[in-house]
Amino acid sequence: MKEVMAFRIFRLLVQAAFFVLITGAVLGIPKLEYPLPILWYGTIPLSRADGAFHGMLVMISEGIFPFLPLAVIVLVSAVLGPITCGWLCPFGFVQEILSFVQAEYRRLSTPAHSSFRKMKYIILVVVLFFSITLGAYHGTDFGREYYKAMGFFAPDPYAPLDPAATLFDVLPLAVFWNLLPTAWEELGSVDPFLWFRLFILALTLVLSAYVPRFWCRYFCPLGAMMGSLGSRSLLTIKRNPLKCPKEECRLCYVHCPMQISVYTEANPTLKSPDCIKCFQCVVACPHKALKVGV
Amino acid sequence: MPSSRITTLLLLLIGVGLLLVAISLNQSEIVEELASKGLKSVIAGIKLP
Repeated sequence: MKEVMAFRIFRLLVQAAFFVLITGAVLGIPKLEYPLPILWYGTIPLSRADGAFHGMLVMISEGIFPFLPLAVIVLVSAVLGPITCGWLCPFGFVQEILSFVQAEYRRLSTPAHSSFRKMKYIILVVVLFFSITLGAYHGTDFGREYYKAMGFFAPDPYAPLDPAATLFDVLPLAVFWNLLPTAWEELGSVDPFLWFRLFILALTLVLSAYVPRFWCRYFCPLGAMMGSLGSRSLLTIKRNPLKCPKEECRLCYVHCPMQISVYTEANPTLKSPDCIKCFQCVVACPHKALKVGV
Repeated sequence: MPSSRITTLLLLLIGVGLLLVAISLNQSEIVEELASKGLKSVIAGIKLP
């Protein structure tokens, strides 16, 4: 469908423009005062924004209640849902580009998809557990020992394993400071954990070419949080069951990067916590059974 | 009013409440200050000079 392809390219352009904005130090763009609900850390000098999820975890670990990052995540989720995942997140943008490798979106089997999608909620719970316990013991002798024992997993237990941090922070900083090996003999001097991070990044990128939005679907704790809070957002997708031919069409499902069976939704509004509000299903529907509404 | 709308309104109220407290505590500055503390986790695997 030409309309869907044109819409996908339009969305890529929006994501690219946003990426330029949040890395636009050289363009003289001022730094944003409020953190953004995207998988972003903002450690590179070019960055013009902080990530709300990272900010939230660091604040909790330091024993400070994260009013501001939490407010940003809750408000955006309540009004727009996880729209920042679909339209703004730089790591989502990279995965979207890679999804063009395949002519059509590939699907995992429904049981595999249902099992894997639980991973992001488990990751969210584990990450919050470590952050909250770090914060609870902050300032005590045990807290200091605990913090020390966590190594680089304190204060943000998620960042060391996040491929977005490896791609947008570790690699640019390593290149900038000339920390990457330039000869075969130097390979042995590379920190084993950096190899591990590069392996996760490479695996994610390869899998994203075959399963669209692989990381977002199964491993992103921010997506899990925003999806849960935003499943009943003001901005939503409405389905008219009288116009929808369901199984006979299924184009909404075919064009959904998150593998959501929009056509089987029992409610008049789509309430899937996986929906990233990319609106590709709305564009793909030839029966005009889907529309964006409040 | 449907229950989903009540949930959304509750979330909005919570969000606005959190934002007001955050502004009164000037947390935007704290977030920026703590970003340097989080650097250790973000760049795990490399040692900056």
